[in-house]
Amino acid sequence: MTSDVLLSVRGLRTCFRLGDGGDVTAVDGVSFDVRRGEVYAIVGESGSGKSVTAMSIMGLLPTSARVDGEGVLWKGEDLLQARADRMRRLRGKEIAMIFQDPLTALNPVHTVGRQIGEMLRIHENASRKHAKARAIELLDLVGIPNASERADMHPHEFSGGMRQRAMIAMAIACRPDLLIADEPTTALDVTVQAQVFDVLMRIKDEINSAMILITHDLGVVAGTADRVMVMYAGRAVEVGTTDDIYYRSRHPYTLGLLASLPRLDDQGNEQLTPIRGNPPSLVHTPSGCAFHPRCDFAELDGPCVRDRTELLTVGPGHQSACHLSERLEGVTVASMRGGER
Amino acid sequence: MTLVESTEHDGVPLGDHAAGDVRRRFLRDKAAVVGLAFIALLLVLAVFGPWLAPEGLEERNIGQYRDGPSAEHWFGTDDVGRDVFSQVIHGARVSMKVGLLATAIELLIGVSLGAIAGYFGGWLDSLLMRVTDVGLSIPYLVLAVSIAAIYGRNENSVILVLGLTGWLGIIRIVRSSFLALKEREFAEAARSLGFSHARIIFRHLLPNALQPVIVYGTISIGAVVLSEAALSFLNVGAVRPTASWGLMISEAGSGSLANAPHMLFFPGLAITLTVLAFVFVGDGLRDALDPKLRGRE
Repeated sequence: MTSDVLLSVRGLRTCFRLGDGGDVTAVDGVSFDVRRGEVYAIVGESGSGKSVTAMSIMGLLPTSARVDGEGVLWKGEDLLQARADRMRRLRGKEIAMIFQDPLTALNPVHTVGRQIGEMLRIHENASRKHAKARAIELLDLVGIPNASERADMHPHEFSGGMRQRAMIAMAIACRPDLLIADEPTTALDVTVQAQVFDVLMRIKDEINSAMILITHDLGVVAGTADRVMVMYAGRAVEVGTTDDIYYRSRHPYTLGLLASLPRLDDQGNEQLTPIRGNPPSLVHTPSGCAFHPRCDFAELDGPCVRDRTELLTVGPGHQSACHLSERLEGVTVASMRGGER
Repeated sequence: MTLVESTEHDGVPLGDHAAGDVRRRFLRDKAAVVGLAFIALLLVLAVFGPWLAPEGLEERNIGQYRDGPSAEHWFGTDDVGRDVFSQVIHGARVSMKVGLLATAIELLIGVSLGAIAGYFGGWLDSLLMRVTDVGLSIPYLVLAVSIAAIYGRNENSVILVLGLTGWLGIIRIVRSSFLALKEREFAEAARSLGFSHARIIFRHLLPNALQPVIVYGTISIGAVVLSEAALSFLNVGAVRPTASWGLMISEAGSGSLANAPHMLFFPGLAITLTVLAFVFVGDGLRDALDPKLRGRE
């Protein structure tokens, strides 16, 4: 393990107890490293376990959840063993989260400036006056005009994009080493999404932090992430650089996600291809490869139905959890679309 | 107190910049405005009563027993010659003291425990709710007699009794608010940014839960005034030389209805108007604070 690894998640497993005494495994043996300064994307559908992974790292899950695994190493310290007060000091100061819905993630009764300043007051013991001044600077940094006036306003006086910028300002107030952005732009208009994304990326570079970007949208990942982990039914199904995932994908699920994306070089004659079926229930996960009921390549009398998949190395730094990954070499979205017609 | 600090910091109750809207809607409610004016009068009487009343607390008019209303004694005199008008004014102090202090105790206990129960949930919530159930099953008169027996018959015992029983209603209101609020994303965001439980409860969630508490608390002051009168009437409340409206009714006795109705009527009227005033103001606040009527979002 090199020294520039900031966060190392090893075999993370998160189960939720159900009311009837059963268990649901939302995250099943996920491992990944985040290096200083990089953007690591976690991609998957709703229920694939990507948000639960983030919440498990932060220790924010309800008590009905059981988080175990070999470790969540933060700069060498195992967060799974950390005490509650250590976790509280770590949250916001060293690892900060940006939530999906800025409409509800800001407290309606306090001014925006005060909520941002509060970060500095609790983590850095800043004086009220200093916190206020810094809050205005931060609002300015995330591109909010008239920051000093805006700081005295309440969240409902902000537009959606401005609220998400304010959330970003809150998250970066203490210059955390790692930002976890959980679908940071999903709740915003498409035009505003791009602006907020630009701000997020600029700020990340400015404070030199790493970022875990959680999203269901591979389109968002393309221009921003260094490495990508694709999750399905609580497991990592493909891991690689962004180029690996986009141009050399070796997993039918990733290919399916790519095929469902509109492309700028579309000549107007290509149809978007949705992935058929629905994400599996985590209570009754399909046998073998969890994706086989929806997979166009699956062999229903082969290992796809029979054997659990493991991540196999298919290239330098590129792993795929598909029994047929060797056969997928050279398969592209275009050839998939062509093959179906 | 955290509660006051967090709401006053922004200079606006409930942290709401729309305080102007709330005030305007409240002022449109005539009954509430009249109620508020009456409460203001009561507070003035409670503070300055001894200087405003024509006659002192223990001043007696020899020979003028149970006289009806006259130019000299507007509300008449009682059976030892005290001016009833002056006594009603002196009585405002006890009523306001008991009403405000008992309600303060109610709110302090009810809001804290309700917030803890709703926020943390689990066994703590179950425990606090069972305690509440037990509390509700104890008749407060029994408690009142017991406490009066221990601490003596005075208004402090009354404050204690009413304060220690009144929170049972508030805890449920606050708990249910917190059950909903803690699931809101800003509570989760606050935790993800490293805020402590205490800070989240008192500075982030409580201001969002204050509206029903304010309304309940206001109406509760009126209810406490009524209970104080009832306890004094039953001789487990204030005793002479304190002037209390309930005590005055009690002293008037059953015979006065026929031969000295003014001894019953005026303290009774004071109680009724006080309770009504607080109910009107509470109702007015409920309407004025109702988010459905707010001109935002």
